Amino acid sequence: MLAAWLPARALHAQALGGTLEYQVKAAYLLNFTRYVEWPEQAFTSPTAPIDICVLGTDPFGGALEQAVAGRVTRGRPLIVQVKRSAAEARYCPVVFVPGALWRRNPGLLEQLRGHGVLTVGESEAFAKAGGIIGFVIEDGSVRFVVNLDARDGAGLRISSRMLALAAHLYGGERERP
Amino acid sequence: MRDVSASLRSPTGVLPELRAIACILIGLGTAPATSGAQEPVPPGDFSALDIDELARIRITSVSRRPEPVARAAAAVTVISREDLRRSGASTLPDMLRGVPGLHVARVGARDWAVSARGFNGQLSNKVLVIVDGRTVYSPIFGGVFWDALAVPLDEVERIEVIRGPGATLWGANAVNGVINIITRSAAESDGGRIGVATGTRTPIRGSARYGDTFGEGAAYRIYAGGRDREPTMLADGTDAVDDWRFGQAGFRLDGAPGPQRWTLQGDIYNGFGDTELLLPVASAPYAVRQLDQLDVRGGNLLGRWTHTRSDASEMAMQLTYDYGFRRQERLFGTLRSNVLDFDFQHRLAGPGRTDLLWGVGYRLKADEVSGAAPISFTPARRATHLASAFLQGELPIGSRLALTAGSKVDHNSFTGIEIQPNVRLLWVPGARHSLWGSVSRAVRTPSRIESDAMAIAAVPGDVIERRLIGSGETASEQLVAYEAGYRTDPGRGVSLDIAVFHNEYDRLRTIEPGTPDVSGPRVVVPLSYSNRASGRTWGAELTALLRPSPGWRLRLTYSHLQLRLELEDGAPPGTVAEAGGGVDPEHLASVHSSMDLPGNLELDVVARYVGALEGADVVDYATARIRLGWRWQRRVELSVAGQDLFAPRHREFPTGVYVADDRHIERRAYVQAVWRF
Repeated sequence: MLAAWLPARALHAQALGGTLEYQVKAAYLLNFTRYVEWPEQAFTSPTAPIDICVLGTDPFGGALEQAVAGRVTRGRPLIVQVKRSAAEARYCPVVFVPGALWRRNPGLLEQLRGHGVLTVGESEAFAKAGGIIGFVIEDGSVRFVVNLDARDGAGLRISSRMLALAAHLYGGERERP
Repeated sequence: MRDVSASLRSPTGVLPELRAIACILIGLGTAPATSGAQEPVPPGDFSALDIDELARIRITSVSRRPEPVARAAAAVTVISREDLRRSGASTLPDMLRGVPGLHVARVGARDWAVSARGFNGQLSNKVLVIVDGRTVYSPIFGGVFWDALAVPLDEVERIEVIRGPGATLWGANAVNGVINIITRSAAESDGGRIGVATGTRTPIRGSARYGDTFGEGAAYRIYAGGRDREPTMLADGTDAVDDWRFGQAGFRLDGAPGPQRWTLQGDIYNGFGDTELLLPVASAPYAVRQLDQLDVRGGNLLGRWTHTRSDASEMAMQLTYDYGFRRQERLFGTLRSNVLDFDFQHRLAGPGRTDLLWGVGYRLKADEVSGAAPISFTPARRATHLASAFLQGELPIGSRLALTAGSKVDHNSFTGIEIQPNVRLLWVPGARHSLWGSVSRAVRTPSRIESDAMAIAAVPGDVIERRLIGSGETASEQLVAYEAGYRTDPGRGVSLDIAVFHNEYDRLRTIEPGTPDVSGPRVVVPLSYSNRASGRTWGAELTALLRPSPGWRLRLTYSHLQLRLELEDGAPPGTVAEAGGGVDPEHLASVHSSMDLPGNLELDVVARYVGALEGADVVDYATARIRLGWRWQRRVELSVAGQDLFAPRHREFPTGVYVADDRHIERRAYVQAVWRF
């Protein structure tokens, strides 16, 4: 009986929950909200939600909504939004830039720079080009790299614990843990 | 399960279908079997993991989820550290301006009147003030001596203001509101900070702090600060007599060994200034002006221990001691007070999905007033106590509703047992909206002043001597409050908070005349306290937060208040309600604009409007503070600020019966330098 419905559920999961890679990335995004400190000015109020904005087409297939559903970081509820343009996303504390979109339009990083926006992309090149965090796949696991100069430019603070777990850090020579 | 995780880490690459199946297996392992077919991937399977675990994909326990303030079923305003720093306010009451529902009025250089939702007065007694968990409370009148409130302003982490009754959790006197001042943990005050300011009417104001870690996970900070405030003005622009010099120092230690946390902190303070009194005399003109000096000093000590036994169970124990000394020879002599307070509380998971919070507390208050001048106390020395216990439970109903209900039971020396229940309902139809409603009962228990005091009024030219004599028989003032609120955060840099209330008061404190005594050369009318008034207040408070552009925030507030009092049938002619006599503005509004400018500059403008106080001939006024700050690498901060800018001087509140003249608050400016190291 179990075998009878297992494949169906598996397909269902693919459709609703996205792939495992994106489920892990969604969980990372949730974690980033806990380890990153935004300037007060990034929010309208001490209790305003943290918007996690996905730029362009959402590759998470519902996994991100599921990961943050009911979650609260430092008193702020987490909310997922899909934004069509970088200009629309500049109020978001977290902006996820899908890899394909960034490869097509690398210039969009400029529009997100310096506003207390944590930019998260899907490659090392994204971080090197001025994004703050880039996901990378290492040994079959999802890891991430951090651009410390971009972090400073956005006025963000990232806990040393999170930095210690990064696969690689760029810039900000002095502060490496 | 471990095997499944290991296979996921295999570098050979796994077919997506297998990954999905593995994922379901993990999900089945952590979610209840009843989770049903609608949720193929139970939420929380990966989102419960920390970064290092994600990198290795291993499963552990779910993280703790604290209650967001945005979902509290009460009218709450939180002022953040950043807002406080940028507001340009240099005193604690000034920092509270702009909180909707609060009427903060400056009476003079050192005196303030602060109330929530009406009934303001210099001896206002319906708002509870808490500093780091310590109740700031004078046993003499049940309120706060704002001039002696020693809080290290630069270390304040946030101020939470709850309008409406907070009696179930905080007990008697949290009738119309709770002001909760929270300073940073010593671990967050790492390093040194020196701040110095100079300006008109305040030639010098400064503070210094140093903090560091010690031992295993423990930290300390020490601080000292002081100010020299010149007198405010009279109507004609000459100086009043109310200058104020105040100094304070203190420390805080914090440690967190394992699942436990402990805090030890304390402050000492000393303040003095001249004052000009209007005092009663037995013969014409029956009231004369006299100079006097006010001295205050005191200290407090707090120890708290918190033990988190699991995600669902936390207990805390706290002991505080507060000593206060106040001397004004010609008015009341010398007042010494001691307050010892013990509190225990325990949060735990109850049956079903309820979250329970219960606690017990005991407060011992002892004071002594010595002196024979117009205000005296019989007995001069008295100890009173307050024992309390409370239980409150929160029950989620489905995923969108939460019901909170609880009650506090107090026993106090004046009125015996008091029961203060509340019930609150929160509805969260979506992440961006919440609606709440509540019904609660609160009481204000009597204090020494209405039980034991005798005061002779000073009225120039009045041949009748009026003597207020504490009866020892007054009852608690009672409130039943009906409240509702709506919060929304539609995104795009806008959020809105609306609260409405209808308060029904009963047995409000009144002062009534007794039989005149005509046996002496002068007619003496005895006045006594009674509880012969009832009343209603209703109103609304609105807060809008806007972010017109990424570096610009606007906070707009508006408060409306209506207050109606009625004397009970049979009250003797001449009876008056003690508070609520037209010193509460109908309208209060404020705008705080906070802008980041290029070149590390910050520009803040706080403008406010306060409606007229009809009962005291205080006209309505609008005024503003402006602050321009410049920061360099978090190390150096220079700022220039103007305060009360719209008029050369304005009057905010009537002075008390023993003060001869009205005081006017001047237009002022200061420059400030802060250095962190």
